[in-house]
Amino acid sequence: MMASLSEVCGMQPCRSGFDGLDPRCRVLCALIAAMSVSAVYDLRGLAAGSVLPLAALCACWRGGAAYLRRAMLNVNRMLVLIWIFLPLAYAGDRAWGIVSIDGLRAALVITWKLNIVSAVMISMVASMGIPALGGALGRLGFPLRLRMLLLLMARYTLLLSGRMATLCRAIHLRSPGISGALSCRAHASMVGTTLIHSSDRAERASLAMSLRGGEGGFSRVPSGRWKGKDSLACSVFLANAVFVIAVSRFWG
Amino acid sequence: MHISEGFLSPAALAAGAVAAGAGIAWGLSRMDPDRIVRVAMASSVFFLASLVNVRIPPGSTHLSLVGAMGLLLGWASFPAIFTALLLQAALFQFGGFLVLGANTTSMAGAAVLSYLLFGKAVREGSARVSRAASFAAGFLGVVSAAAFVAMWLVISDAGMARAAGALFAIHMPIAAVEGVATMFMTEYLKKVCPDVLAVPQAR
Repeated sequence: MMASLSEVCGMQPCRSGFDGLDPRCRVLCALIAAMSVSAVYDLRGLAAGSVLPLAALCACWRGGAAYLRRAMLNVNRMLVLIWIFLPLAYAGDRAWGIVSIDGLRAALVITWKLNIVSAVMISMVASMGIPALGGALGRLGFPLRLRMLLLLMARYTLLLSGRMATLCRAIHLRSPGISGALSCRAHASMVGTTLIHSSDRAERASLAMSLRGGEGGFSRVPSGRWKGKDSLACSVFLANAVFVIAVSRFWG
Repeated sequence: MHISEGFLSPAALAAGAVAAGAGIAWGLSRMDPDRIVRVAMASSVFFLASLVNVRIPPGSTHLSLVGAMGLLLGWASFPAIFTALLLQAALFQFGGFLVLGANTTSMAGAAVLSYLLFGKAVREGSARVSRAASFAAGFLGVVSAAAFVAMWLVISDAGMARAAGALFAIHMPIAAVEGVATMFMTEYLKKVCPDVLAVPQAR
């Protein structure tokens, strides 16, 4: 957990073929591809929608295969639940009186969509890292307070994770195998202690920020210029979205 | 509690994004600018607390502390939960980027509901009233978040109604555990540092 926290909170977790593009362009292209895939429900449309996200994933593979493998594994962890739950609980005709045929189809479609949307979002957005993502949101017109909240949270999550880990270790050393209401009380007190500690620290950090000039540098949006290749990338993703929806509508 | 990518229809995704956008805008406008660091730190604590495994026989669970977050942050829960979910999507691939709106509405809506219904009783009530209100806030936080998630699933695909119902039912015991944890947490905070329970918003 700590490794991935420092990877994404602190720096760029994965180098990719999209590093030359404007971060705004990366976010917009990923959203266009993901939205077009979520609008289709037939397998031909999904197959057409898979090409560009898979290409995006391959473009990042050389720069961070370990990161991408771990991320896609995380995405697919809940698949077991989907494949057990949906065929049993979904409406429609049943095979052997138990398994819903429509449920199996829904599970297949959801699995496919989950992987395509996650592939494009991870390779184009998450791989930027939180600082670049914060900058992209700022240049896309997101409010300053929201961006500050994101960047401050990324910073303090990393900072407080050490303290939380120490307190967890203390709980387990004092009473190994603790469980039930006692465990609940110990963890609730741990959260309370960390909240009090963080509240004191927040007061000092606020004071320091206002002494340095208000927003502590968070209002500064990273400079960058929208170039021709950004427009080209957006056009390619838009054309792909139109193609995916056309395939789904006319051949699906 | 998260809805993953692939479950929701474009209409549900759009509705979630609009509702979350409205909530975030309202939450940001009500947030005291001097308290933004405090909101960020409190969200970080809840974010980290949600990663800790608590052993409750016969298994173990992750606390979401949605109700507790509502009690501490009030309307600021909307931007705080949005950023927490954005971080979770980027760090651990929980939830996802496209479903951020629906997930934010589910969890922050539940947090704000807990705050509006029980916030005053927790802060100003006697010890017994405060304990009962804290438990109710924690319980309601999970139950209403599960109800919101079930609602998004049914809006997207009516065939999922039974699955959504089962999902809601599964969350009942978790809600009870959350209620107890929220009760212990607010009891501790009221004893040690009641100022932490003051909601960071402009009045």
